[in-house]
Amino acid sequence: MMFKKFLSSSLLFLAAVWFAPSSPAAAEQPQNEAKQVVEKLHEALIDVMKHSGQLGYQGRLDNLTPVVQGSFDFPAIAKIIVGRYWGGLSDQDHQTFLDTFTRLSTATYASRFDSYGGESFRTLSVEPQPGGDILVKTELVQSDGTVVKLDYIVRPSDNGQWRILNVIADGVSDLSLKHADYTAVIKNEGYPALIARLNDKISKYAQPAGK
Amino acid sequence: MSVMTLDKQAARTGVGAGGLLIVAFLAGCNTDPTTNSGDDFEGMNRAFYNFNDGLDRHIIKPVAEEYVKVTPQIIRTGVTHFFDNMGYPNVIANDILQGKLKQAWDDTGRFITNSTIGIGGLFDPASGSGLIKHDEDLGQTFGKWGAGEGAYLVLPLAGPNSVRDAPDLFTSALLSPLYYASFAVTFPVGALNAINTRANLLDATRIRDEAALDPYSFTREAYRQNRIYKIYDGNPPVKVEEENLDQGETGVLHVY
Repeated sequence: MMFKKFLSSSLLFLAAVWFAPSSPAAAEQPQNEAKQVVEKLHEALIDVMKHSGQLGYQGRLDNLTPVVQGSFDFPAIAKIIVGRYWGGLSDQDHQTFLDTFTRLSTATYASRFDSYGGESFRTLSVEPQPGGDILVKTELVQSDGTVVKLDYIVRPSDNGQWRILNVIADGVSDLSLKHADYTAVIKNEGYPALIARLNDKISKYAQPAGK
Repeated sequence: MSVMTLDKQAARTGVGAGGLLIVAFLAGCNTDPTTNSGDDFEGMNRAFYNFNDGLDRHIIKPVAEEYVKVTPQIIRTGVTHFFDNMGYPNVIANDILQGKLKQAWDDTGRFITNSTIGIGGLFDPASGSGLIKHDEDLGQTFGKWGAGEGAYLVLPLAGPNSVRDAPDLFTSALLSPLYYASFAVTFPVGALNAINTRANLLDATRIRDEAALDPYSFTREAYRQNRIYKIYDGNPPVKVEEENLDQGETGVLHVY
């Protein structure tokens, strides 16, 4: 996903209003929470992009880790991605995968959001889905006018907090991509190879050549 | 002239018969392309994928990168518009086949506008007038009629495709004005189309190369997602279903 965004001040204002403790009708509460999770993530990404030069990769990683981990439901995501192989893995393996995958996701964001060029984010709509998930539709408007559609599927995690489960960029589901990718590796090379390859990617992101 | 008429008749009959056969075959298959995360021809597909990848890495990609370096964006945009326009009769035909008659009307207007005012398709004044670009092909038409993917295919040179989507390669060629020019024109112009298309995909392939552990599977899934997105005209059904984790068999996973 190539995001480079700039949150407009009006969205910031509206987000601030919604962050206020006294909330409107109960029915709107989950929608607001879902929206907040997404917009908070976007805010953090913009912030990191704006200061990308002075932060460097490690600084961006340090800044983004708490936000990314607080925005996504990594335990649920990890389980879906490994799919049919999850049941056959030990608890230890579950934890290793979860940790490695979480670190990789954060590293990916820290690596990709490495410069700022006047982009902006737009939240388009918040749509409850049958089954309880909430779809938050946003748009990334780049400086040359190109628009990237970013749809977030948000659902309550184990502790009841609303967390992002999936990002769909221009119609392509990140969860689906990773599921297809990782299960192919497990099938052809085995689970330990998957972990090794993920760690390899993490160290590649951290290398000095990649700002 | 008579040879061309014969060709067109044969093409029409072939497309008609082939189309019926394919829909009948595919209707018997699952109607949701991502239900079967399996890949019936995986061995052969991977072989073609590796072949294409080698060709791409050594020849096509370097040429595309050079093309980007030496050609100003505005010209590349013009080239893209030109080929989009060349392929537009195919969009109109599939609009009609899908019953999207208002869209067929608008798309005809777009084609005429861009071909004339847009000087042979180099420019795109139609978009400014509200006649936006649509994306329809025979594979999407079959999908709209209820056909599933059939089977995922990686074709040599052409790349990711499927049993449902492959016939469009032929029918769209027949509907392109370029097909009817002489070979001396079609070949270099076709090559330009390939290089320009590759150039437009450089960002996407860079992301794939950076993110994917198994580029073959990554590409297959991205292809499938994109096809569903197009069949549903940008509004695919949104649902998340986890695989049946207990049974360990190839499960069902729709994730949008």
